[in-house]
Amino acid sequence: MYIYKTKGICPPEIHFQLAGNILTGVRFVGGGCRGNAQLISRLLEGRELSEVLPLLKGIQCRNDTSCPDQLFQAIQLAREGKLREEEPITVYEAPASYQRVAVIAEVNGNVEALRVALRQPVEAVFCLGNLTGPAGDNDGVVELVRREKLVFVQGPFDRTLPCTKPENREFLRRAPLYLRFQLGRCRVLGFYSGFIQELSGFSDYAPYSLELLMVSNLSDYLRNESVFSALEAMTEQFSVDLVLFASTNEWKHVRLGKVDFINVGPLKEGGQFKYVLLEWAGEELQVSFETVKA
Amino acid sequence: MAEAVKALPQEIRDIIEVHEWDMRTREGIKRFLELKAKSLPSIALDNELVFEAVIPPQEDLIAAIKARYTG
Repeated sequence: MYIYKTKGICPPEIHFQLAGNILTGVRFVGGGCRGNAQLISRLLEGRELSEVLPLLKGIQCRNDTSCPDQLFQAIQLAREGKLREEEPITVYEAPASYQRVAVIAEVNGNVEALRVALRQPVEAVFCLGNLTGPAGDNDGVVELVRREKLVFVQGPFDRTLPCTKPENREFLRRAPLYLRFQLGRCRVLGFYSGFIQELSGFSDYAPYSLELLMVSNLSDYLRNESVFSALEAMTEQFSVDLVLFASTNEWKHVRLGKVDFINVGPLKEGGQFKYVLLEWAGEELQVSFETVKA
Repeated sequence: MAEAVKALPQEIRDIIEVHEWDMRTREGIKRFLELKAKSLPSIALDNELVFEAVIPPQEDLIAAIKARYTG
Protein backbone atom coordinates (compact mmCIF):
# COMPACT_ATOMS: atom_id res chain seq x y z
CA MET A 1 0.00 0.00 0.00
CA TYR A 2 1.15 3.54 -0.74
CA ILE A 3 0.50 6.41 1.67
CA TYR A 4 0.83 9.85 0.11
CA LYS A 5 0.86 13.00 2.28
CA THR A 6 -1.09 15.49 0.21
CA LYS A 7 -0.40 19.18 -0.36
CA GLY A 8 -3.05 21.87 -0.71
CA ILE A 9 -6.21 19.74 -0.49
CA CYS A 10 -8.63 18.81 2.28
CA PRO A 11 -7.73 15.12 2.84
CA PRO A 12 -4.27 14.95 4.48
CA GLU A 13 -3.50 11.54 2.98
CA ILE A 14 -4.30 9.40 -0.05
CA HIS A 15 -3.92 5.62 0.24
CA PHE A 16 -3.76 3.38 -2.82
CA GLN A 17 -2.34 0.19 -4.24
CA LEU A 18 -0.80 -0.65 -7.57
CA ALA A 19 -0.99 -4.15 -8.99
CA GLY A 20 1.24 -3.72 -12.00
CA ASN A 21 -0.56 -1.09 -14.04
CA ILE A 22 -3.86 -1.51 -12.23
CA LEU A 23 -4.98 0.99 -9.60
CA THR A 24 -6.86 -0.38 -6.58
CA GLY A 25 -7.87 0.56 -3.05
CA VAL A 26 -7.89 4.34 -3.53
CA ARG A 27 -8.93 6.15 -0.35
CA PHE A 28 -8.87 9.88 0.33
CA VAL A 29 -8.68 10.02 4.12
CA GLY A 30 -8.85 12.41 7.05
CA GLY A 31 -10.99 15.17 5.58
CA GLY A 32 -12.73 16.56 2.54
CA CYS A 33 -15.94 15.49 0.92
CA ARG A 34 -16.37 11.84 1.83
CA GLY A 35 -19.15 11.16 -0.65
CA ASN A 36 -17.29 12.49 -3.67
CA ALA A 37 -14.09 10.80 -2.51
CA GLN A 38 -15.84 7.44 -2.29
CA LEU A 39 -17.33 7.91 -5.74
CA ILE A 40 -13.90 8.69 -7.19
CA SER A 41 -12.49 5.60 -5.48
CA ARG A 42 -15.20 3.37 -6.93
CA LEU A 43 -14.82 4.81 -10.41
CA LEU A 44 -11.06 4.28 -10.35
CA GLU A 45 -11.07 0.79 -8.81
CA GLY A 46 -9.34 -1.79 -10.99
CA ARG A 47 -8.67 0.53 -13.92
CA GLU A 48 -5.50 0.71 -16.01
CA LEU A 49 -3.16 3.60 -15.22
CA SER A 50 -3.01 4.53 -18.90
CA GLU A 51 -6.73 5.14 -18.75
CA VAL A 52 -6.80 6.81 -15.34
CA LEU A 53 -3.83 9.19 -15.35
CA PRO A 54 -5.07 11.51 -18.15
CA LEU A 55 -8.37 11.87 -16.29
CA LEU A 56 -6.68 12.91 -13.04
CA LYS A 57 -3.95 15.23 -14.27
CA GLY A 58 -4.24 18.97 -13.76
CA ILE A 59 -7.75 19.22 -12.30
CA GLN A 60 -7.98 22.40 -10.22
CA CYS A 61 -10.00 22.83 -7.03
CA ARG A 62 -7.95 24.89 -4.59
CA ASN A 63 -4.31 25.91 -4.17
CA ASP A 64 -3.66 25.07 -7.85
CA THR A 65 -4.43 21.42 -7.26
CA SER A 66 -7.24 19.03 -6.36
CA CYS A 67 -7.83 15.53 -4.97
CA PRO A 68 -7.55 13.92 -8.43
CA ASP A 69 -4.46 16.00 -9.25
CA GLN A 70 -2.80 14.97 -5.98
CA LEU A 71 -3.58 11.33 -6.74
CA PHE A 72 -1.98 11.80 -10.15
CA GLN A 73 1.17 13.16 -8.51
CA ALA A 74 1.20 10.33 -5.96
CA ILE A 75 0.95 7.66 -8.67
CA GLN A 76 3.74 9.30 -10.63
CA LEU A 77 6.00 9.30 -7.56
CA ALA A 78 5.18 5.64 -6.92
CA ARG A 79 6.01 4.70 -10.53
CA GLU A 80 9.30 6.60 -10.32
CA GLY A 81 10.18 4.76 -7.10
CA LYS A 82 10.10 8.02 -5.11
CA LEU A 83 7.15 6.95 -2.96
CA ARG A 84 7.84 3.84 -0.89
CA GLU A 85 5.36 0.99 -0.80
CA GLU A 86 4.52 0.33 2.84
CA GLU A 87 3.85 -3.02 4.43
CA PRO A 88 0.10 -3.18 5.03
CA ILE A 89 -1.28 -3.23 8.56
CA THR A 90 -3.08 -6.54 8.27
CA VAL A 91 -6.50 -7.36 9.68
CA TYR A 92 -7.93 -10.84 10.21
CA GLU A 93 -11.70 -10.80 9.76
CA ALA A 94 -13.29 -13.96 11.13
CA PRO A 95 -15.79 -15.31 8.61
CA ALA A 96 -18.14 -16.76 11.23
CA SER A 97 -20.32 -15.10 13.85
CA TYR A 98 -19.98 -16.34 17.43
CA GLN A 99 -22.04 -16.48 20.62
CA ARG A 100 -19.41 -17.55 23.16
CA VAL A 101 -15.65 -17.10 22.85
CA ALA A 102 -12.55 -16.95 25.04
CA VAL A 103 -9.87 -14.29 24.60
CA ILE A 104 -6.35 -14.73 25.93
CA ALA A 105 -3.05 -12.84 25.73
CA GLU A 106 0.58 -13.18 26.74
CA VAL A 107 1.05 -16.90 26.24
CA ASN A 108 4.80 -16.23 26.42
CA GLY A 109 5.80 -19.62 25.09
CA ASN A 110 3.84 -21.55 27.73
CA VAL A 111 2.53 -24.68 25.97
CA GLU A 112 0.75 -26.01 29.06
CA ALA A 113 -1.14 -22.73 29.57
CA LEU A 114 -2.20 -22.66 25.94
CA ARG A 115 -3.47 -26.25 26.15
CA VAL A 116 -5.63 -25.23 29.13
CA ALA A 117 -7.07 -22.29 27.19
CA LEU A 118 -7.86 -24.48 24.20
CA ARG A 119 -9.84 -26.90 26.39
CA GLN A 120 -12.36 -24.27 27.51
CA PRO A 121 -16.03 -24.85 26.50
CA VAL A 122 -16.26 -22.08 23.90
CA GLU A 123 -16.78 -21.85 20.14
CA ALA A 124 -13.41 -20.21 19.55
CA VAL A 125 -10.31 -18.99 21.37
CA PHE A 126 -8.59 -15.82 20.19
CA CYS A 127 -5.16 -14.62 21.31
CA LEU A 128 -4.21 -10.93 21.44
CA GLY A 129 -0.51 -11.45 20.95
CA ASN A 130 2.80 -12.50 22.47
CA LEU A 131 2.45 -16.17 21.80
CA THR A 132 6.19 -16.13 22.28
CA GLY A 133 8.24 -14.94 25.23
CA PRO A 134 11.83 -14.54 26.36
CA ALA A 135 11.99 -17.83 28.30
CA GLY A 136 9.29 -19.86 26.60
CA ASP A 137 9.00 -22.90 24.38
CA ASN A 138 8.22 -20.67 21.42
CA ASP A 139 8.43 -23.35 18.76
CA GLY A 140 6.20 -25.62 20.86
CA VAL A 141 3.55 -22.92 21.22
CA VAL A 142 3.61 -21.95 17.56
CA GLU A 143 3.31 -25.58 16.47
CA LEU A 144 0.31 -26.06 18.78
CA VAL A 145 -1.25 -22.88 17.39
CA ARG A 146 -0.74 -24.12 13.84
CA ARG A 147 -2.25 -27.53 14.61
CA GLU A 148 -5.26 -26.08 16.42
CA LYS A 149 -5.68 -23.21 13.92
CA LEU A 150 -5.83 -20.70 16.77
CA VAL A 151 -6.51 -17.17 15.54
CA PHE A 152 -4.11 -14.63 17.00
CA VAL A 153 -2.59 -11.22 16.35
CA GLN A 154 1.04 -10.25 16.67
CA GLY A 155 2.47 -8.84 19.86
CA PRO A 156 5.93 -7.25 20.01
CA PHE A 157 7.58 -10.48 21.23
CA ASP A 158 6.18 -12.31 18.20
CA ARG A 159 8.09 -9.85 16.01
CA THR A 160 11.32 -9.78 17.99
CA LEU A 161 11.70 -13.21 19.63
CA PRO A 162 11.55 -15.55 16.70
CA CYS A 163 11.29 -19.31 16.89
CA THR A 164 14.24 -21.46 15.94
CA LYS A 165 12.42 -23.20 13.08
CA PRO A 166 12.14 -21.10 9.90
CA GLU A 167 8.57 -22.25 9.16
CA ASN A 168 7.46 -21.08 12.63
CA ARG A 169 9.22 -17.75 12.19
CA GLU A 170 7.48 -17.24 8.87
CA PHE A 171 4.13 -18.21 10.41
CA LEU A 172 4.56 -15.52 13.09
CA ARG A 173 5.76 -12.95 10.57
CA ARG A 174 2.63 -13.37 8.47
CA ALA A 175 0.22 -13.05 11.40
CA PRO A 176 -2.24 -10.15 11.36
CA LEU A 177 -2.06 -7.10 13.61
CA TYR A 178 -5.79 -6.57 14.11
CA LEU A 179 -8.51 -9.12 14.75
CA ARG A 180 -12.15 -8.50 13.84
CA PHE A 181 -15.03 -10.80 14.65
CA GLN A 182 -18.73 -10.66 15.28
CA LEU A 183 -20.22 -11.75 18.61
CA GLY A 184 -23.99 -11.74 18.16
CA ARG A 185 -24.70 -8.16 17.13
CA CYS A 186 -21.50 -6.93 18.76
CA ARG A 187 -18.67 -5.87 16.43
CA VAL A 188 -15.40 -6.81 18.13
CA LEU A 189 -11.90 -5.46 17.48
CA GLY A 190 -8.74 -6.88 19.05
CA PHE A 191 -5.09 -5.84 18.97
CA TYR A 192 -2.10 -6.13 21.27
CA SER A 193 -1.11 -2.49 21.82
CA GLY A 194 -0.02 0.81 20.33
CA PHE A 195 3.23 -0.66 19.00
CA ILE A 196 1.40 -0.96 15.67
CA GLN A 197 1.72 2.81 15.19
CA GLU A 198 5.51 2.44 15.01
CA LEU A 199 5.22 0.31 11.86
CA SER A 200 5.85 2.10 8.58
CA GLY A 201 2.48 1.20 7.06
CA PHE A 202 0.51 2.76 9.91
CA SER A 203 -1.67 5.76 9.18
CA ASP A 204 -3.77 7.75 11.63
CA TYR A 205 -6.59 7.51 9.11
CA ALA A 206 -6.52 3.78 8.34
CA PRO A 207 -9.33 1.50 9.55
CA TYR A 208 -9.12 0.87 13.33
CA SER A 209 -6.37 3.47 13.88
CA LEU A 210 -8.86 5.66 15.73
CA GLU A 211 -9.72 2.89 18.19
CA LEU A 212 -6.04 2.03 18.69
CA LEU A 213 -4.95 5.64 19.24
CA MET A 214 -7.77 6.33 21.66
CA VAL A 215 -6.81 3.32 23.77
CA SER A 216 -3.03 3.69 23.67
CA ASN A 217 -2.25 7.38 23.19
CA LEU A 218 -5.26 9.13 24.73
CA SER A 219 -6.23 6.92 27.66
CA ASP A 220 -2.89 5.16 28.29
CA TYR A 221 -4.68 1.80 28.16
CA LEU A 222 -7.54 3.07 30.37
CA ARG A 223 -5.12 4.15 33.14
CA ASN A 224 -5.74 7.88 32.57
CA GLU A 225 -9.31 8.20 33.78
CA SER A 226 -9.22 12.01 33.54
CA VAL A 227 -9.71 11.75 29.77
CA PHE A 228 -12.63 9.30 29.89
CA SER A 229 -15.06 12.09 29.01
CA ALA A 230 -13.11 12.83 25.81
CA LEU A 231 -12.72 9.12 25.08
CA GLU A 232 -16.45 8.63 25.42
CA ALA A 233 -17.07 11.52 23.00
CA MET A 234 -14.71 9.93 20.48
CA THR A 235 -16.46 6.54 20.68
CA GLU A 236 -19.21 8.10 18.56
CA GLN A 237 -16.79 7.73 15.64
CA PHE A 238 -15.78 4.12 16.40
CA SER A 239 -16.51 1.40 13.88
CA VAL A 240 -16.84 -1.32 16.55
CA ASP A 241 -18.73 -1.95 19.80
CA LEU A 242 -16.04 -3.77 21.76
CA VAL A 243 -12.29 -3.07 21.83
CA LEU A 244 -9.95 -5.73 23.23
CA PHE A 245 -6.28 -5.08 23.90
CA ALA A 246 -3.41 -6.46 26.03
CA SER A 247 0.08 -5.09 26.77
CA THR A 248 -0.23 -3.83 30.36
CA ASN A 249 -0.56 -7.17 32.21
CA GLU A 250 -3.76 -5.82 33.74
CA TRP A 251 -7.37 -6.97 33.67
CA LYS A 252 -9.99 -4.30 33.24
CA HIS A 253 -13.43 -3.78 31.74
CA VAL A 254 -14.80 -0.28 31.18
CA ARG A 255 -17.90 0.79 29.29
CA LEU A 256 -17.89 4.33 27.86
CA GLY A 257 -20.83 5.45 25.80
CA LYS A 258 -21.87 2.49 23.70
CA VAL A 259 -18.41 0.94 23.56
CA ASP A 260 -16.89 -1.68 25.87
CA PHE A 261 -13.12 -1.67 26.44
CA ILE A 262 -11.43 -4.77 27.84
CA ASN A 263 -7.79 -5.00 28.86
CA VAL A 264 -6.76 -8.66 28.71
CA GLY A 265 -3.98 -9.70 31.08
CA PRO A 266 -1.53 -12.62 30.85
CA LEU A 267 -2.79 -16.18 30.36
CA LYS A 268 -0.79 -17.46 33.29
CA GLU A 269 -0.85 -15.37 36.44
CA GLY A 270 0.65 -16.80 39.60
CA GLY A 271 -0.47 -20.42 39.73
CA GLN A 272 -3.64 -19.80 37.73
CA PHE A 273 -4.73 -19.48 34.13
CA LYS A 274 -6.97 -16.55 33.20
CA TYR A 275 -9.00 -15.57 30.18
CA VAL A 276 -11.91 -13.34 29.22
CA LEU A 277 -15.16 -15.08 28.45
CA LEU A 278 -17.36 -13.13 26.04
CA GLU A 279 -20.93 -14.21 25.50
CA TRP A 280 -23.79 -12.81 23.49
CA ALA A 281 -26.85 -13.73 25.52
CA GLY A 282 -30.24 -12.10 25.91
CA GLU A 283 -29.37 -9.64 23.14
CA GLU A 284 -26.48 -8.20 25.11
CA LEU A 285 -22.77 -8.63 25.68
CA GLN A 286 -21.74 -10.46 28.83
CA VAL A 287 -18.15 -10.27 30.02
CA SER A 288 -16.46 -12.28 32.74
CA PHE A 289 -12.85 -12.84 33.75
CA GLU A 290 -12.46 -16.59 34.21
CA THR A 291 -9.85 -18.36 36.30
CA VAL A 292 -8.72 -21.98 35.93
CA LYS A 293 -6.58 -23.48 38.69
CA ALA A 294 -3.34 -25.09 37.58
CA MET B 1 -15.93 24.11 17.36
CA ALA B 2 -13.94 25.33 14.40
CA GLU B 3 -17.13 26.80 12.96
CA ALA B 4 -17.60 28.91 16.12
CA VAL B 5 -14.12 30.33 15.61
CA LYS B 6 -14.59 30.87 11.88
CA ALA B 7 -17.79 32.81 12.62
CA LEU B 8 -15.91 35.43 14.64
CA PRO B 9 -15.98 39.00 13.31
CA GLN B 10 -13.11 39.92 11.01
CA GLU B 11 -11.59 42.41 13.48
CA ILE B 12 -11.22 39.58 16.01
CA ARG B 13 -9.88 37.10 13.46
CA ASP B 14 -7.29 39.71 12.47
CA ILE B 15 -5.69 39.63 15.93
CA ILE B 16 -5.54 35.88 16.44
CA GLU B 17 -4.00 32.87 14.75
CA VAL B 18 -6.18 29.76 14.82
CA HIS B 19 -4.93 26.18 15.01
CA GLU B 20 -7.42 23.33 14.87
CA TRP B 21 -6.25 19.97 16.24
CA ASP B 22 -7.78 16.75 14.98
CA MET B 23 -8.32 14.31 17.85
CA ARG B 24 -8.19 11.40 15.42
CA THR B 25 -4.47 12.00 14.93
CA ARG B 26 -1.42 11.38 17.09
CA GLU B 27 -0.55 15.07 16.85
CA GLY B 28 -4.02 16.12 18.03
CA ILE B 29 -4.02 13.70 20.97
CA LYS B 30 -0.54 14.89 21.98
CA ARG B 31 -1.69 18.51 21.97
CA PHE B 32 -4.83 17.61 23.95
CA LEU B 33 -2.72 15.95 26.65
CA GLU B 34 -0.18 18.83 26.69
CA LEU B 35 -3.00 21.24 27.41
CA LYS B 36 -4.23 18.90 30.18
CA ALA B 37 -7.64 18.96 28.58
CA LYS B 38 -10.19 16.42 29.71
CA SER B 39 -13.23 16.91 27.51
CA LEU B 40 -14.21 17.75 23.98
CA PRO B 41 -14.52 20.23 22.45
CA SER B 42 -11.92 22.50 24.05
CA ILE B 43 -10.53 25.95 23.24
CA ALA B 44 -7.14 27.18 24.49
CA LEU B 45 -5.79 30.70 24.21
CA ASP B 46 -2.02 31.07 24.42
CA ASN B 47 -1.60 27.47 25.63
CA GLU B 48 -4.14 27.93 28.41
CA LEU B 49 -7.37 26.00 28.40
CA VAL B 50 -10.23 28.51 28.48
CA PHE B 51 -13.33 26.65 27.34
CA GLU B 52 -13.84 22.94 27.86
CA ALA B 53 -16.70 20.61 26.94
CA VAL B 54 -18.64 23.56 25.58
CA ILE B 55 -18.97 25.68 22.48
CA PRO B 56 -19.02 29.13 24.07
CA PRO B 57 -21.44 31.85 23.02
CA GLN B 58 -19.67 34.13 20.57
CA GLU B 59 -19.70 37.08 23.01
CA ASP B 60 -17.91 34.97 25.67
CA LEU B 61 -15.27 33.89 23.18
CA ILE B 62 -14.76 37.47 21.99
CA ALA B 63 -14.51 38.71 25.58
CA ALA B 64 -11.89 36.07 26.41
CA ILE B 65 -9.85 37.00 23.33
CA LYS B 66 -10.11 40.74 23.94
CA ALA B 67 -9.07 40.30 27.56
CA ARG B 68 -5.78 38.85 26.33
CA TYR B 69 -4.98 40.56 23.08
CA THR B 70 -6.37 44.09 23.18
CA GLY B 71 -5.32 46.90 25.43
